[in-house]
Amino acid sequence: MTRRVVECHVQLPRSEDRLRREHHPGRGLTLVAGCALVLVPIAGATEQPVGWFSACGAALCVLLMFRFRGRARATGWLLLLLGLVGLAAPRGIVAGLGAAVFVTLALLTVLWLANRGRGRRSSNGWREREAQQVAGRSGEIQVAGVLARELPDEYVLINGLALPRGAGDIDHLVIGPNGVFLLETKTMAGRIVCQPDGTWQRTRIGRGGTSYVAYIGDPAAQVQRNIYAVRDCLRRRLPHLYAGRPLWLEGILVFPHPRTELASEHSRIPAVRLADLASSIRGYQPRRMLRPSDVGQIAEVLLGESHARPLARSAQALVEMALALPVVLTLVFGTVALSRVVQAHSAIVAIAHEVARAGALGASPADALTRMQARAREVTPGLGLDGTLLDIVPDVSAYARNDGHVAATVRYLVNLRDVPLVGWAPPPELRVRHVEWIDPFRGGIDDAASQR
Amino acid sequence: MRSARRAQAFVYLAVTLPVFVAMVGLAIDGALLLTARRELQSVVDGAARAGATRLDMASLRGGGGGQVKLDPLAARTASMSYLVQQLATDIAWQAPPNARVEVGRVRVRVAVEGELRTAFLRVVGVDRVPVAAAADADVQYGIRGPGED
Repeated sequence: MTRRVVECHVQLPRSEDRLRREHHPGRGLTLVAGCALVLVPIAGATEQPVGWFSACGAALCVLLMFRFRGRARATGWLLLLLGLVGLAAPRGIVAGLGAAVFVTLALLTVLWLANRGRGRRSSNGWREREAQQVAGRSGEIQVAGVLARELPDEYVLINGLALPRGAGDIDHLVIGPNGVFLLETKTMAGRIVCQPDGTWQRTRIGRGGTSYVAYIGDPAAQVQRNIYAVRDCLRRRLPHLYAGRPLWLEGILVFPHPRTELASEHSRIPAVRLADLASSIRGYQPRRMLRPSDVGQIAEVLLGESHARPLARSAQALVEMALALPVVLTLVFGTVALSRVVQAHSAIVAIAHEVARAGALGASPADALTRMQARAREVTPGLGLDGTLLDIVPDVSAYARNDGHVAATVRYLVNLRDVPLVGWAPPPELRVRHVEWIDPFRGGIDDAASQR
Repeated sequence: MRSARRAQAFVYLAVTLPVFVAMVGLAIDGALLLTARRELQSVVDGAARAGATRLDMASLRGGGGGQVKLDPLAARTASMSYLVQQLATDIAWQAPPNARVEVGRVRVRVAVEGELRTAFLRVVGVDRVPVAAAADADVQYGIRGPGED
């Protein structure tokens, strides 16, 4: 009997816990409360003061309703109903209705997104899956007990080891003087056959006596992937085990269910019944024997790697976020910069237009110039441009009654220095010129002055 | 397994990169299209007003100042001349735009249609986008008081 047993299994949630969660009101209430704090002032500000009260009332109703009667399916229907109300309700007749509908729709959408799929989980498929998990876990406990009881103390048994690059947990890892064994437990009843092409098939007999094909997947492939993960780890951390005659990792499929009929002669991974498991491990003839110190080191390294997993994952997520964030932020701020350029261009087109038109109404070149300058002063402040970066050049050199025209050229440097990630770029210069012809039949033109 | 993960990352990259490029292209080309459209409208407005300054002198003098109408030829020439001068600058046309000037008794209508070259959307196969603008200018004469229209 070995006392060197390490349990790494993550506890499965108990049925009562799941049941409690199912009867718990919908998730996301904190998130919804936070959204309400932001949305209520925005919606309320549109129709003061009634909008404040209606938006507050709507948010409170949603929060209270879901505190006591929150169900995911109801949210979807309510969302649809309120959407229709929002579309069909006449505007401006009931004060504050718009704010209330907006807040309700937004909060219900958040709740719906937070609770999506909860209703479906209590279906028969979910229960069957949970039953399979419970059966699988009890099989694993049974196998772990047999191994702990029947293996000598020189063996180390690690149950439920999860490695960063493994295919799920390794149900049992046995490290002993005659090698390292990775065990995958399949607690499944019925006839289980490995076909000559390596695929697995499971057939069960139903209550009516008819046989049907049940799911089994490819347990050998799962063991194989875990072997790769363990080998990668050991090769990296304990290279001396791979010098000369390399360490060989042995995979074993265990079928502990008493009603399993096994035909596995074509399997690339040995498959055994529970009764034969300990003897097959003890009797295994290795290519390379392990010293007791090697056994301890292997266990230590693998357990260390298993503990490093969450850190490795979060580090990976951090690296991915660090790579993606600059791209996303550049896109966001680039769009802001672009919209600022478009807005500035639109504004200077309007200025050039207005200034040139004002000049075309002048009685003489000097009068045209005065009008253009005055018009520029009038229209510029309302367009949101920085006056220090704006250059308006009126041109009255071609002023004449016949075939004469005036022109206004506007240049503007778009300031992007305050836009993060884009501020380093040189400010783009926008330039627009507008020409306006002079109406020769317009009264008041000073012909003498215009010819000078 | 490592190569499989790398391949997975490449698949993500291959799927998301065209989407990103298309988004950026859409934003930049959309901005270019908006500014060009705004500028074209300004040019077309000016051309219509330039045409509307050309009155039929003979009719005006023969009618004792009461017969005000446009000189169709002169108005058309003025509008076209304005368009030729202004359309050649700044706007990146794929091909010379199609300009149409209609001169009525007291109204000039100018319409310009063309296709602009795209800068980035050509990466996803869109190398041109249509753009059009139109403007009317009427001859206004005399001063009317309230209710005399």
